[in-house]
Amino acid sequence: MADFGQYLANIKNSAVSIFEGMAVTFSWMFRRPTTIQYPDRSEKPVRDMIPERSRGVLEVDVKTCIGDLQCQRVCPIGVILIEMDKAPDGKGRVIKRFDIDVSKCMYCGFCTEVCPTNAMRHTHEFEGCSRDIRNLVLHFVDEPVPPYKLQKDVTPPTPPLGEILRTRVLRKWDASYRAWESKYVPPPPAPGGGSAEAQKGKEKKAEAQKAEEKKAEGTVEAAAEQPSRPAAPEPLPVPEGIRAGDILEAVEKAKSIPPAKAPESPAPVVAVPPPEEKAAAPAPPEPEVPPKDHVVEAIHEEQPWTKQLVKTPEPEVVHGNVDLTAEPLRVPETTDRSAAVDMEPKAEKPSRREVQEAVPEKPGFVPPPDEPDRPMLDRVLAAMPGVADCEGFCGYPSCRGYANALSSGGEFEHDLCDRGGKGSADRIALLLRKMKKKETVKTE
Amino acid sequence: MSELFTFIQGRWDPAVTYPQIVWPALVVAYGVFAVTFASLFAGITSWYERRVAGRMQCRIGPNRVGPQGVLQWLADGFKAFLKEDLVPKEADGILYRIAPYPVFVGVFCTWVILPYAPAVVGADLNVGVVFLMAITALVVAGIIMGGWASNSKWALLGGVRSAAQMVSYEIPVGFALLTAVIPAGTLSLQGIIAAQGGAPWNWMVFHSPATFIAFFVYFTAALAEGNRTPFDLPEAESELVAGYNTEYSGMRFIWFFFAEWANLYVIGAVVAAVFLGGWRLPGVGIEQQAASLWLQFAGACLFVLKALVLVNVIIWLRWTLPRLRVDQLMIMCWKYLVPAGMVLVVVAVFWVFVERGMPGFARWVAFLLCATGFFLVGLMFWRAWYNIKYGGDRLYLKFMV
Ligand code: SF4
Ligand code: SF4
Repeated sequence: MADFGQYLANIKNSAVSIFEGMAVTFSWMFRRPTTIQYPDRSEKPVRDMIPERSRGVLEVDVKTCIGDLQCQRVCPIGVILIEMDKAPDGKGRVIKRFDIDVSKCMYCGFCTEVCPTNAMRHTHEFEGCSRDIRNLVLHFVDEPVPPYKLQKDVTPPTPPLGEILRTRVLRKWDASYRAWESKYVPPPPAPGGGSAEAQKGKEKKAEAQKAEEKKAEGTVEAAAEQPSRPAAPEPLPVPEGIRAGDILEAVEKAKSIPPAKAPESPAPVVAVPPPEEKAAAPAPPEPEVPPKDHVVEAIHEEQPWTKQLVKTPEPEVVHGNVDLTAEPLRVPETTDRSAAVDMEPKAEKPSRREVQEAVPEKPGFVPPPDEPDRPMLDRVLAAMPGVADCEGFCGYPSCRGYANALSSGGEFEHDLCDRGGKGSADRIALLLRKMKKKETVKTE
Repeated sequence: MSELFTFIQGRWDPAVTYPQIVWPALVVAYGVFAVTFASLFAGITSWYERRVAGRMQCRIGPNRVGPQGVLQWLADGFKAFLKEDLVPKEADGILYRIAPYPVFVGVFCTWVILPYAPAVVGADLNVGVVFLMAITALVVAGIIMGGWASNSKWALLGGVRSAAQMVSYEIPVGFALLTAVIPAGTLSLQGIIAAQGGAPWNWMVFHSPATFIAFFVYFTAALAEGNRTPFDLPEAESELVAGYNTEYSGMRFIWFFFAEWANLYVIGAVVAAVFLGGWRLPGVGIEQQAASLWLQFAGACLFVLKALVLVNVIIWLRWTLPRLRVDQLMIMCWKYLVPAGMVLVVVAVFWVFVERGMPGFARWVAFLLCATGFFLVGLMFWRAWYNIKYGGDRLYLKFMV
């Protein structure tokens, strides 16, 4: 009988546990998934979210590299290729080439350990997806650079981590190899002729593949034969498959841009603050980090969005309770439709649907003030209640995180702020719509 | 088919509708409809299931191809088409090549008897339920064929497991269906549906305590027969790589899965037909429904809706329960489901007398069981809500993420 009791108990237990288990999984149908949709909707760039000491793609600051080749020697794989040469004026040496083949690197970190000046570092960049494996060979020297002179009691300056990689090298990965190579690598002296084919070369990539290679060979040869080259020690390494037309184009561009500043020699070391001060303020004293050479500017010109990669000092925004009734947020006299609509650019008449969405019927609704000069992040933040005991239902660690994601277009759901409720959601929606409109106006 | 034909002839002048043309055209049209329905269902379910699985595991699931990922299954199918069709060198070539088709045919043949409406059914066989069990047994043949012909130990083990499992679970399936057949007095699916009513308390599942339990027994056993988790031992990834289809690639591999997903609908539809009132509309008599085109259509919609709800439950179960061990699987079948099935048949026979002798009491029991059923559904929602509330979370009713 006891056995039969056990038998029935088994049935009951399995039924109950299956029922409870199903209730748990069912409840997840009505909860917010925890997935962060990388990279579209992550709160900030993932490189800022990964651990501080993680080893990402290598970067080297050739301005502080002393050229002792230790990294090249210690690398077990032979990832690093450094070429030193005599300086053109005959005194000392220059670093002529500093290539890191990221496709081979195993991120062991040996090279960063041996580097005496911290010129070689692991950044937090990890997205190494590239259309062409040759893109993964990172060239850090455009023009020969004199090596850094190590001095006692002087810490070499360190630019912010990843700055060089991001502004100079990395974003090219996404482009096809030739598209960027011909544009951003400083052009070697132009060979004569070939301009007629240059236009043709633009037409079709796939079809022109073979012809391009042939042409490129010819180009390199032609360049080698040119006797009237300037007295540069050696032509910069011309990658395979470069197109004559692109070179010409790049030359034209380079001419139109004011000539590049010669790479600053690290001679005025005196300017570098003493180590104690450095330790106190790890951030670089002057934000003029992005090298103002023509290469960067060319990148900016080609792809304007890269400008945002260059950090500009942002005034510290005080985050917290933003009193909606305080001074900068004035309540408009009328909250009827026409008044709110006037905030929009006059040129286009908002559709009926938009108007209805923009201004809720609720009399208590306070539309956000029109302050086009204020950063969108702040304006969105101001539209949130910013209370301290928020339970974080939006899924972001702070209001600022959510506001940032909203204003950068990473998050599309404007009504996640639970504490702010409908009013907050409506204000944010209005702001976001304005932001979108502005963008479209700009692009047009 | 003949019902549909008579229906058409009844509505239009028989002299005008040429039987020689209309009849073959109807047969072909229905065949095309059934295969299209099954294929589309299988394809879309393959995406839908992944989305549901994602949400149940706090993820999102495929949402890249097309809006919300609805075209994912097309992309997957297209990819499978482009894959090389490999046959292992030591495999039995012919058997290996034809193995997916018995599986496919076994599942798709059930559409012959799956009803949609009083007049829309492939063939209202008078041995419908038996045909159902017989034709789905063809799946076992295909799976063993594939497992054996692959000449791989994983595939063979998967095939043998599947044979043992399916043969065992045929028995509880038979008992459970028998429990429903006894009160209905017919083996034909249309007949069983006609014996039920449109209102929930007239459904077969609430007819007697025996059918109420038979509903769960059948559902469990059908899952096991269809190789669905938690009974997917034949393709247990954790120990058998992929089971009987380890060696398959490309389109042949997809056939197996096509059949599996189409089988979801078969399970749902059979349960809906046998236990949940099929296409019966509440408050509408059979003759009335059979006479009207619109009522037929409404009935078909209701039927498909019921089947889809059950498909959802199957998917839900899959992402809730872990896979059983082989011995547990057999214990579950032989120690629990088979004895339960025997008792159920006896009770069902007994209930026939109860119904005759005390119709009032039988009616009350039906109401009580109906209330129990809806109470269980409500309890499930309440438990889910409870989990959300006390799990430190909030209701989030957006399904498009
Ligand atoms: S991290 Fe290791 S493998 Fe990579 S370049 Fe440095 S030494 Fe070589
Ligand atoms: S990067 Fe560092 S280790 Fe490598 S050559 Fe320059 S100074 Fe030496």
